[in-house]
Amino acid sequence: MISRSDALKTAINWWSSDAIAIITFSPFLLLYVAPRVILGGHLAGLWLGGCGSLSASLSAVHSGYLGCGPSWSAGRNPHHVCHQRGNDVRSLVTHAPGGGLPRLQLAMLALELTSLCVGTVVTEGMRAEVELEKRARLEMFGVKSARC
Amino acid sequence: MGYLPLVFISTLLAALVNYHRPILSWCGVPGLTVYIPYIAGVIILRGRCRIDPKLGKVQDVARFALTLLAAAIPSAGIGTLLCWETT
Repeated sequence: MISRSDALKTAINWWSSDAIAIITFSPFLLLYVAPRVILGGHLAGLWLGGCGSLSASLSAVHSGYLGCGPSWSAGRNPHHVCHQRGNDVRSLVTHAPGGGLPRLQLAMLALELTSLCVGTVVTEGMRAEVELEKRARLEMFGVKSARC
Repeated sequence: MGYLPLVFISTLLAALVNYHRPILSWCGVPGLTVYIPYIAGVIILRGRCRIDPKLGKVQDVARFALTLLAAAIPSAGIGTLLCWETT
């Protein structure tokens, strides 16, 4: 849950993580996934919605690992991350008339997806460690109170 | 509107798997409202703007990015309100 003091910060984090997902995943889905899944060109417009929602769902993952809570990217330089995202946008825009993403862009997206998966594992591991620590403390407290 | 079930299912999955939220709470099923701005954005992109889904022109990319980034603002606001601590 979000406290009043954290509301603005959370909203900004929420928006930035959504923005990252929109910029990184949606074009990839539109260009490479949608044409292979939907054969009829008239259904491409429908895919805009699907891609939007899917990227929003992915952004939920992003918000977990970039925005709030124990963050897998905490050890990384945020400026570097922003710079990388900026490069994504720039290369997407400059290569747009060619009708697709270049190989470098695809490699970057693959890296991002990999880091996302690694982030999931790391965050779940951290969550489990925190839970274990809490339980150990409770047990210690129980033992001490039983002795007294 | 055929994609709406996909939106709902992916939202509920994200709520359960990513955030470990209870489904029957303010941040559970009502969390679906977070995507209403995105749905509105997609309606605009499909109707008024009519962008090319292949994003063949810089104009298409700009419209796509601007519309969805703008839709993300109310979405973030709604999401924050739904997770607001009342006690």
